[in-house]
Amino acid sequence: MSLRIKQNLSLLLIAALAISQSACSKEKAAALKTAADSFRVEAEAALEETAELLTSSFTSRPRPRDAELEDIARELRANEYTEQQLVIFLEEKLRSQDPAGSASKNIEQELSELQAEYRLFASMFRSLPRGYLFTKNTVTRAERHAARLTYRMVKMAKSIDENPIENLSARAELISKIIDARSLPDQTSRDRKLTAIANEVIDLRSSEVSSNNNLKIQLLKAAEAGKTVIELIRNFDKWSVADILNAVGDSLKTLDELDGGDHAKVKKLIAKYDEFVESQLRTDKVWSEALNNQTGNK
Amino acid sequence: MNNETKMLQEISRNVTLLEVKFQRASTLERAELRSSLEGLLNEYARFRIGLLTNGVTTTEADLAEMREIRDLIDKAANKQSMLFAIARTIGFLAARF
Repeated sequence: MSLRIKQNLSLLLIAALAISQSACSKEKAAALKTAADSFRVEAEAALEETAELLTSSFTSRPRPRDAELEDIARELRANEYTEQQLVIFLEEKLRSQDPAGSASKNIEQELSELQAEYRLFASMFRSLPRGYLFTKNTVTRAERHAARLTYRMVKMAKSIDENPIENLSARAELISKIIDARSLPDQTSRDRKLTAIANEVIDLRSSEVSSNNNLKIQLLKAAEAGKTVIELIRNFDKWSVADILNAVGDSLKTLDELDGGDHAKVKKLIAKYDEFVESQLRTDKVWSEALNNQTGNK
Repeated sequence: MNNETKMLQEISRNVTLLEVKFQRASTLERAELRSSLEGLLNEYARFRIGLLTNGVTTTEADLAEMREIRDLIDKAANKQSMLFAIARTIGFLAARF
């Protein structure tokens, strides 16, 4: 047999092998890519929600135009401002930035940098369904990154559980309303106003509890999606397509079950996920290597 | 209550008190209070972010490795596409001759 025929036959054999493996491995690769994308989507949503809740917690609501108009006119009627004072008055009134602007920008920037990490993580797998034949060892290297990014989501949920985000500007607004109500000369109006404020206090409590719970759930959803990615990476070569699809199915079911629930249920879930990551950190080499230099581990 | 919680409580109370003062101040007083409020809100934001990320940081080396993994998988995809194209060509030729 000539060398040329031998070469062609070898190529044919390689190609036949590759194609015979391709249907099954391609599905596994596509499942891993989808799981990594789902991790990114859930984590980005969690970080977006964190930024929104944090910035809105200290940003005052803009005053309605009519109320502001009345304030400006009253202030100008009541004070004989000098020219210098009028310059400062106008400077302050015409400022476009709220005092919370710089802090909000910092929070948005920090959290958007974290979002970029999750985008980079998902992008690692973008070509996997087209390149699974030559990526066995490369895929394994992604596990430590998945562990670190998942750990962060669980710790963020735990941090919010321990120190819920309080709506500071709404609290300040209520205090201001109480001061105004107490200065009303008529007892009946004063009582009526204070009862209305009492209702607002209870509403604020419900709103704070519910927004914190929603955020914690979203962080746990991201952690669950991250947990699935870790399992898929770890078992990418061992598992069959059916195993992988089962794992993805179980994860989707868990994500669905995470929705809703009261404060006690959310607390229990956080404890469950925290126990999982802490036990991984103690017992698993990949996890401990990925996180052993982190200063905040508790 | 741990130290971090105590510290957060203290900063949060100071923010609330200063916000009340700012909301009730005249325009000229607001101009004076503005930079203190901005500073305090920045301190609150920094402290909150520190608590939230809990020291879980991604280093430059981590980012570089993630980019490297992505590039390796991208290259593997190109290699695989080429292999499949060769296989298809051989299959086509084998069927004809």
